[in-house]
Amino acid sequence: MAEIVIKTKNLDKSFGSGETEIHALRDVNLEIMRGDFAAIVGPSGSGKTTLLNILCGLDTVSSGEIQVSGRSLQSMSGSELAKFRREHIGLVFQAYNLIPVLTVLENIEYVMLLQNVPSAERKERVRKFLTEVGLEGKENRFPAELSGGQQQRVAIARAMVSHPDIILADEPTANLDSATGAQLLEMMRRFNEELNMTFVFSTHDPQIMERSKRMVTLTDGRIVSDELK
Amino acid sequence: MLTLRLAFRNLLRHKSRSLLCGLSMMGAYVLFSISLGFSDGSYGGLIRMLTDTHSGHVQIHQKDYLEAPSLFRNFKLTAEIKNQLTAHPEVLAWTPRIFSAALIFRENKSTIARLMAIDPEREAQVTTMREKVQSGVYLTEAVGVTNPILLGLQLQKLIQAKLGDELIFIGQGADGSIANDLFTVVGIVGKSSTDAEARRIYMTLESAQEFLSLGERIHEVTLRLQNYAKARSAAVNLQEILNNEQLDVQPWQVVEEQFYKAMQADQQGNWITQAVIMLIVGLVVLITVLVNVFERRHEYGLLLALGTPPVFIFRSVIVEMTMLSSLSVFVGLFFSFSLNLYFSVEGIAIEPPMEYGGVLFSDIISEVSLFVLFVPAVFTIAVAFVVAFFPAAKSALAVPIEAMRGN
Ligand SMILES: Nc1ncnc2c1ncn2[C@@H]1O[C@H](COP(=O)(O)OP(=O)(O)OP(=O)(O)O)[C@@H](O)[C@H]1O
Ligand SMILES: [Mg+2]
Repeated sequence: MAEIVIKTKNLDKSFGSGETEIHALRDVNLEIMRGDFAAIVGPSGSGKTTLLNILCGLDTVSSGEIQVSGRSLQSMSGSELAKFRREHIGLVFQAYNLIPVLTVLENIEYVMLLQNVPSAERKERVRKFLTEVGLEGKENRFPAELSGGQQQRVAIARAMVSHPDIILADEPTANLDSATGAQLLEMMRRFNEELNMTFVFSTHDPQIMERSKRMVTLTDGRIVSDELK
Repeated sequence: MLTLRLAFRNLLRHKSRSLLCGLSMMGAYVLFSISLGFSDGSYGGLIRMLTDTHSGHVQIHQKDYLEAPSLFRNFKLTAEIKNQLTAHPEVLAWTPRIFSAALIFRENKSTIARLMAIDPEREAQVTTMREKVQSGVYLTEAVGVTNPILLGLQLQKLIQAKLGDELIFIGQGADGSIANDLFTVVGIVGKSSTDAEARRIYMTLESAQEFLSLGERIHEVTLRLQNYAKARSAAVNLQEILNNEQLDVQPWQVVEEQFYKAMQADQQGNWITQAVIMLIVGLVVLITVLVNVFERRHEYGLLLALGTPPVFIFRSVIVEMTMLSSLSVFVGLFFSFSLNLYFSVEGIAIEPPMEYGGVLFSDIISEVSLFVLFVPAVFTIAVAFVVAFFPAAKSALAVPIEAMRGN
């Protein structure tokens, strides 16, 4: 039986109150297993981003429970959450993933610096993941000197490098053309299979959904289907 | 290290903005330093002028004399007092003085004149008395002349006296008698009729004590110190050492109160200018930091999302601004040093000359000192530091998802 990485119980999230209240998530019960490669899909406004933000502790729930790696996120303070994200979760966003004034190498190294990983080990891990994402030789470039696809690959390398329990990615391919997007997903899938890294990502793109191993569909904040392929 | 690297790269990121902000900090620092240099330099010059020409650094009188000077408010300069003054490590030289007034006559001309009696040798060690003689000789060189005097230029014009002329003095003796005697002009003092000495007559202490029936009594002892900045503490210390309730020891700030007050009022005006300069620095820094922080809100959102502690972001904003202000001040140091040095040699003439409590002031000069260079430096860096606080806190406390959402 696979280990549960994320478990939510009756998650509810609404924004605002009264007339203007928006119910972004309703009664979400979700279990993510180690080794999952899950796509969260659904129309625009269905709550995908909201869900991912809650899973990594960037946003709070209105009611319900959420556990990541066996720890309840609701009980953590802001700084505990920051530390938790640093150590257990890798994040990839649609855009603004990299710090523009740091080089590729420094961007990948960043979280390890916050974790006080010794220099030699840092360099070693950066080199390993640069090769994995096929960007060896580009370590001293600045983000602006890379293509969109390359930037997303750096973001994935950064997310992978601190050995998180799970990588959460909100529309990682939305800013890429479909071929580049497909390549990126192929790479994620390889990490999933070879390194048993758990991925949860949201997408609009049917081609990308094709490549997932599990598809969770949200409509109006509710999970309407959850199928393994 | 990471903070420093981020701060440094961020500074280089918007070179022209950093340059503009840095230049205004540098300009403000240099202005502040020069304004302080001029204020210190000019007042220092004025104080030196005043104390060198007349007042000395500290004076001793009979206790009521300063409030209402009078012939009768005198004291005896005992051997004990002399020894105490001579032995004091801060006292470079001291000189006794007597002040009075007399009617003076020459043939059919007459006038009233202020008298100042001095010990010529000692006086020359305390003030520039010897250099005030414009023609004739100083009192020490008038050998064989009984009752020699130095006559002020204006008085000389009034009674049309020449060197060697004998004048008749009539005054009041300390014993209540009418004093009168003959005095011989051996020198003329004062460059122009507006000089203080042009309206005075200088005589020796002995002649005055004889003429005024003062015995060994005097009105004032004027002291020259090693360092004029120590006048106040030296006065307090001497008062204790002399341990005489009849005597009153005061620094030049009290003796020349009018001058000192005028100077202080003027210095306060300078502080206002300097505060305005700092206010401008504050505004420029505030705008720069706010623009930077606003532009980078996605980045700060990302850093927070990655688990960066807010303190780290706060620190990096502060470090960035402190780096820029320190750099600006460092470069500015070169300018403020050279400009202050230049103006300390080449004063700026002020037209018309200003007057402070009776002292004319026609040139302003600057001064180079650690105070003048470093106080504005500390101020500039501190202002940048403090002003960066609010935007730094704002970016550190940003909510990551909101910071990242907005385009
Ligand atoms: N901070 C917020 N304040 C108010 N409403 C919000 C906020 N964030 C999200 N919402 C609302 O919650 C709902 C879900 O938004 P969410 O961004 O999660 O959708 P999404 O599935 O990610 O959409 P998209 O595919 O367009 O990215 C939407 O109706 C949105 O308007
Ligand atoms: Mg979304």
